[in-house]
Order: sequence, then structure tokens, then C-alpha cells
Amino acid sequence: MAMTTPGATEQNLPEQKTCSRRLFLKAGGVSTGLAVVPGALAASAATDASKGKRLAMVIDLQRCTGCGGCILTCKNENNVQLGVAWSNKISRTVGTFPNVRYDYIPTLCNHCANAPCVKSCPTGAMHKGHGDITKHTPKKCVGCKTCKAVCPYDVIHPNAVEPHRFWRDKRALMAGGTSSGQEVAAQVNSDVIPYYNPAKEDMGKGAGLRYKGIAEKCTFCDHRTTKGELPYCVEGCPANARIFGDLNDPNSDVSKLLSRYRSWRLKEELGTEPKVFYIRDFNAGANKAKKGSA
Amino acid sequence: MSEFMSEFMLQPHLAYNWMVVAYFFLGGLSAGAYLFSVVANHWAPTFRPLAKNAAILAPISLALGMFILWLDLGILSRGLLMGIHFNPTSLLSWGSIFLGLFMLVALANAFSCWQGGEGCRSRTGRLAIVGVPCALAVAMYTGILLNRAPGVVLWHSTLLPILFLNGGLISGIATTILLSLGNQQKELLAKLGRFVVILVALELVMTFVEVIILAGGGVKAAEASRALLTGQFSGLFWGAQILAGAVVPAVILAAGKSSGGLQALASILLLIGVYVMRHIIVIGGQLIG
Repeated sequence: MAMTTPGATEQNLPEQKTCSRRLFLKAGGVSTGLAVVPGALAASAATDASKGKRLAMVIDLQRCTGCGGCILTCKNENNVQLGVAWSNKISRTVGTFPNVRYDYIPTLCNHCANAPCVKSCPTGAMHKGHGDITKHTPKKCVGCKTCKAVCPYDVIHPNAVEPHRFWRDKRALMAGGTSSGQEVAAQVNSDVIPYYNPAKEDMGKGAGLRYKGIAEKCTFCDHRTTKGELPYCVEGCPANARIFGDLNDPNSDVSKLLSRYRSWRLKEELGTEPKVFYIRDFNAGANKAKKGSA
Repeated sequence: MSEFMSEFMLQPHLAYNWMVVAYFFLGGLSAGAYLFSVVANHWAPTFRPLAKNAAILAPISLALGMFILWLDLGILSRGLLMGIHFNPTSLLSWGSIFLGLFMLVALANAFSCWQGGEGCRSRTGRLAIVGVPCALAVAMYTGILLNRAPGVVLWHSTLLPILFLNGGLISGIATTILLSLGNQQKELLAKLGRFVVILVALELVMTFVEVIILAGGGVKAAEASRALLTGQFSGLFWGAQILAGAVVPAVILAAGKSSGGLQALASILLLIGVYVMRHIIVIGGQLIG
């Protein structure tokens, strides 16, 4: 586990956010006592930079170019298998020719404050974690798929069979012409997949490579946010359309943007309180300024 | 090539597939059979000869339903996690407790009825104090569970648990009739058949009330009602659930004929109707929202 590196993050965490509640209690509620607490106790607190925050994402649709870079970076970072996209998109053409427009909405788990998956999970495998993100503990997951059934956003993916079948398969894509998935994985000394990211395992067994019988979903890159880093889709967005931060902090970029622009969220009317906000418009700039007409 | 790749894209499209539908069906059937056995044993002495079959049917169908549900899990041993962890806001957590209790009571009840004799009625009576609430919970919690999905209009109905309970009673009694056909009780079965007609009529009324309310309940709800009445699910809805699964068997049973063949046909049609109703709600809810 890496230690927090204050200042290295783009969040610029307020100092007091990095201390744990345990420390606070130990000090009897007196903040001046914090300075003399042994480092051993401070370790667990220092590793979780998302503690006490309300992490949220603002997606600036006017900056978004619809390139799908978020989808690719997410797949690389999180070992996401073929056929599944934690980071996804809604794209559609709206209108009747010649008056048409193209809509593009990047989607991901909304980490709802009032998450139906968390309420419905029979074992608490789906739960609210530090940073108010919706987390999933593989070892508690029954595989009942109720989270997928109740999620209005279709962002939870249960693994009915062993995932990463392609990289385990011995058949070549074209017999005699290409290598098989398994050969490619073996070439890069990976047990299963060529682009395996071991940092995911920091979040517990099954967080890295999910397995048969459990659900999986976007974690807001908790293996990064706990270290004070940005989710990888935010890092990887070439248009800087994704802004990530703490809603509890009035000085965070997300708080500022949400006060500056009118924002909307997916299926807000359901009362799930999603924490992925959309601002501005994918098609802005298509309207020339001219008096009285379009 | 695309076929080759698509082989590896094996995420299930539906969260709740036919296995869940089958479990909903068998769980409801079990609760219905148990409730009928209690009623027959204690409040409707006319039907007492049928109580034994119903009592034995209950734990068997429940076990079969739970087995199918268990097969639906990716890793079967993970089902045990349900026994270790509990989430008070999860209907599934509560459901599993009621399922466990009901299974025990249904087994004990079946054993008592199997043995018969003097103490049978008092034993089953005492069991019913726990058994009846558990049976009601088992029959209805699935309907409340579906209500917990905020985005699915087809599941957003107070009638759903009641529909599921009523369907459970219909299927439980229909299966009891099927099991009792060889028992030379043709008149008794005809009488029970006429009682089932009342339940089927209730089912039809509730179904139409549900659809009428859906049709006027906003854009998405109206869309869902169209999918049932004229769209994607109209064949199943009108053909299998309403006509073949309710109206035809109700007409046969209402005629009160004591022909074993007709009674068997009506019972099987009723089972199909109840299954299709659950299929339309569970699968349809996920497909049409």
C-alpha cells in the first residue's frame, strides 16, 4: 500500500481530512493531540484518502468529444473483460433528417447516495464505502444478481461463468494465422490476461480479476482514490471532460462547477441520488449567433 | 470472426432468468399448497381428504424451487453466505429467513399428515401458527422484492405481492387436484375446481386493474402496458396467460364436470397460466422496464 502524497494529487486535500476517526477518538477530541500520535496508528488512516469525502464526478459534455477513451482506459486499468464495460456510453441520433443531432453521454456506475443495489444486496457485499462510493466485496457476494435487477442504470455485471474466457482459450482466432488468447497471455508472463493490473488487488481478493459467481462494477478506481489519485478514466480523458472531487469540500472543482452550471443526472426522478453529474451540452457551438434567427 | 468473439462475451443479459421465474413459480406453488392443506385440515372439513396430498406437495415443490434457484448461482457453495450475512433492508435476506422457516414447517406438516392419526390435526394446527405467516411471506416477498427496483414500472405495483399469492394458491390447488386424480374423489375435486374459479376470477380482475392503471401511469408505464396488450408480450399475455391459462380452465372447472381428463387438462392449463404470468412480470419487467 502506498502512502498518501499530499500535494501530488489534483484534489489538494484539506489537511484535517487525512486523519482517522480512530486517531480523533484517541486524542479525546482535542485536535492538538494529533501531532504526537505514533505512526503505526496513522498508517491505516493515511492509506485511505477518500475517507470522510463524498466523491463525485462531473462530466462536461461540451468538452467531451465522444472518443470513448474513458471506456478503453477503464478496461486497461481495471482488468475488465470482453463484453463488459464498466465505463460505457449512451450514443444516439435524435431527430428527423435534416434536423438531426448526435447525442453522446458517457456512463459509469453512479455511486448513488441512495443506492438500490446496496439496499437490496442480501449479504452486504454491495455497500457504501469511504468517499460514499458504492463498493463491492467479492468474498461476500452470493451471485444472486439482485443488484443487477434493481439497478436502473445497467452498470452491474454478474459473472455467470468464469470471466476472461478469451485469454484462457487455446483456439486461434484464425487457425494457423493468429495466436490464441492463451498464447498471448503466456507471452507476457500473465496468469490470465495480458493487461493485468496488480494494483487492483490492493482492494482485496477478487478485486483484480473477478471470478465466476460474483458481480462486478465500476469502483470509481478505489485503488487509486484511496491513495489520493484520480480515477483512471479521469486521468485518461484527452479532453479533460471528467472532473472528479469531493462534494463535501466547497472549494473542490466539482462543487464549483455544480454551482456554476445547471447540472443533470441520469434518471434523477427515481430518487437514487446519483453522484455522476452532467453539465453543458455535447452539441454546443452548433448554433451561430445571429439576431432573431438560428 | 464476430461469432468467435461473441462466444466470450458471456455476461448474462438478464439478471433474473427463467430459473428465477421457475423459483417464483415453485415457491408460490409450495406456499399455496401448504395454505390449502391448513385450510382443508382446519376450516374446510369437506376438503380434508385432499389435505395430505397438498401437505406433501409443499416441501417437495419448495425444495425443487430452491434447487433451481441455487443452480442459478455461479458458485454453488456461495449460497451459504446467505446464512452468514444479513442485510435488514434486503428483501432477499428476509425472504431467505422465511424460506428456511417455512421449509421446516412444511416438512413437519407433511410428516404429520403422512402419519395421520389422532394427533395430526392438533400438530398441524400448532405448526400453522408459524407456518401460515411464513407461507404468506414466502408467497409474497418475491413481489415486494421486485418492487424494490426503482426503474421498472411493471414491477412497481402494490398488487404484485397479492397477485403472486393468488397465483400461488391457484397453482398449489391445481397441482393438488392433479395429484389427487387417482383417488376416486371426482366429486370432491369438481367442488374444489369451482372454488379455484373464484381465485382465477380474482386473478383476472387484478391483472386487468394492473394493466389499466399502467396504461394511464405516465410515458414508461403506458409503454409497458402496450407491450403487454399489443406489443412484444401480447401473444403470451392474451394467448397463454389470459385465454389458455385462465379463461379456458375456469370455464372447464366452472362446468363442474367430474371427468378426470378435463380436470387434469384444466389444472395443467392453470399451471401454465400462473407460470406465464410470472414469466411476463419477471422477464418482461427487465426487457420493457
